[in-house]
Amino acid sequence: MESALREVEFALEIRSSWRTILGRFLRHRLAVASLTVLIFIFLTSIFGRMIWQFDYLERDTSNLSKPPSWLHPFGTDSLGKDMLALTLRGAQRSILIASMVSLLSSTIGVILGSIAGYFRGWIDALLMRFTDLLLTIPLLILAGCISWQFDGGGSWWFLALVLGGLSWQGTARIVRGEFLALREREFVEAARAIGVPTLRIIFRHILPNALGPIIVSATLSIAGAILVETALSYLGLGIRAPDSSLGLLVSDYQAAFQTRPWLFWFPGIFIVIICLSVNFVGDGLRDAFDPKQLRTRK
Amino acid sequence: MIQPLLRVANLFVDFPLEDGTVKAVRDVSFELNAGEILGIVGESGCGKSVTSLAIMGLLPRTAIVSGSVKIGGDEIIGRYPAELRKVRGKRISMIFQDPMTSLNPVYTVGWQIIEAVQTHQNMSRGIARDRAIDLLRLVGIPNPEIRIDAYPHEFSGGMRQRVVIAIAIANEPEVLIADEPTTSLDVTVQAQILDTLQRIRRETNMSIIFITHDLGVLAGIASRLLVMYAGRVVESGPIDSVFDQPKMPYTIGLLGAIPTESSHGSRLNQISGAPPSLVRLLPGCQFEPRCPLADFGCTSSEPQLLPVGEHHTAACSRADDVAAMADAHTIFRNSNI
Repeated sequence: MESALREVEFALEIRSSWRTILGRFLRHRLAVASLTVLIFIFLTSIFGRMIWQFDYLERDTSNLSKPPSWLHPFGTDSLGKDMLALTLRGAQRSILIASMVSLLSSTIGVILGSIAGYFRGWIDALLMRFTDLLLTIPLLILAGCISWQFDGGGSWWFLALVLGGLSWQGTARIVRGEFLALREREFVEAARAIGVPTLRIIFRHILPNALGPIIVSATLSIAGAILVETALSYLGLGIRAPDSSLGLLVSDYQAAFQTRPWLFWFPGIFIVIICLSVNFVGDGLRDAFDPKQLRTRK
Repeated sequence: MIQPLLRVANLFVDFPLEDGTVKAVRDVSFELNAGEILGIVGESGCGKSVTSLAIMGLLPRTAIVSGSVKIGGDEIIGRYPAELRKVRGKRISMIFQDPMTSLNPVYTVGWQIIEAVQTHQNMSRGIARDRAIDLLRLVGIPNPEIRIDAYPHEFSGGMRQRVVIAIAIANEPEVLIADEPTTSLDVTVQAQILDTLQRIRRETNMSIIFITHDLGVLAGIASRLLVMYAGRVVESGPIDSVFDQPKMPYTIGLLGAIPTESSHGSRLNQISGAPPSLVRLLPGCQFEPRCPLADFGCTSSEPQLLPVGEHHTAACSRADDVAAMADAHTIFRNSNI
């Protein structure tokens, strides 16, 4: 009898909202392909070093400045370092930093944005003017100066900390906008009417409803973080030798652009592929989370 | 004499705006006894919802509230938010108008009921879950053991409103404020929800303030009635007395707007015009421009709420004339074209 009732009540097949979103994402072919590429790069950059015969610090002195071959698929530099190992190491560092930056900036952005959007009034004005102020200062210069000034400069975690601490403005604005709309919804008032404390309303009741745009913005901020990290390392203000990052590699080998192009192109192409893939995944997520999106992209 | 459960005395609510102050509620007083259903009627913007939000302590910080709201002798007005939170949901609870939006779409109904229970009672999750299932059964949801894990979008409007009621009564409040709980539902579902509320009141002896703009809905369930217009109470009394001998022309107009057996084939009443702006109130009776009985006396000063019968009060300077008229219920028919 129970099942009969259930059938009557649920004439339509119920799909949870997460499954709907996943379905829509999977239909976005470019995003799925990009996600595959990303996962592949991510896994090889972590585990590839265990399998690959060369370490990024190791020198193969019998093969100096060699173009790509079966032994060294990405070639070697003038010291005999294997470019594949170096690029993988660089990609690993770049992805690690970018993920940290994205996590940190999303956390700060969500906290500040939700508080500003929920409380409005002078709290909102204060937080948002501070956000505007930070937006007017070029991130590259500020982050460069900070990491140049302090002792921790050059270590990857310090760079991630600085970049994350300075790049939350976009997320904060998005979250604030979502909260301004969501706080007027009746379920928020209903929660207040049963005596739910304010912080719980903000983080347990409203925040989950704003998760879509937050995930999209966090994903897209990974691409931005990789580019900024690359730029900083290229300028010598980010990751420093003997550690490696894609930006540092491009910077180190730009002189060889004419004579030994493989030294420059492989890390460069990695940067482009990673950033493009992240952006496509972000695009796919945006489409998946937006129910107003009628057009299905192939 | 029995101490009333809820006593609202001289409640005023103002909203200061740039171009003047909105006087949303003016001098509202009423009492609510244990186990009683009190109906509050009036058209949109007459202060019904603001009154209920003031009782809940849910008005925005910009609102200027004065007067007294006492539940079981404890004052609500002027309390700190943290203290109010302990009262809300525990002693007074509220059902909102639209069940489609008053449930959080990202959580199961069980999560939301359990939260309501655990907000006020120190209870393990397992016991709270059993309580949630009992509550769903109490409000008439079939298969509560299964439905507890369903999301709001998997319920129909009427079923959602039942869930909303279950959340509101989760901590057995003394007073339940139902703010137009059936307005967004269709008529058959509306009747079921009213039955459910009646049954819960009988089983738990809670008092209900039932806010609506539909007098017909109140007829079967409320014992007393409060008619509000432009932020004030204009007539109040036992429901039979108000229905049979309305003394305020506005109440007569509202009653005449309900379709009944006897009105079949004839035109329903229509109160022409619109309520006055709450920023610029009239010097006299606020209903005067729309009232077919209005005379010069009505424009000079606002009539007081005076007794017109047993427990029956009305704010109309011509209440005695209305009482003397045999055909008082037809006053709007003659004035309409």
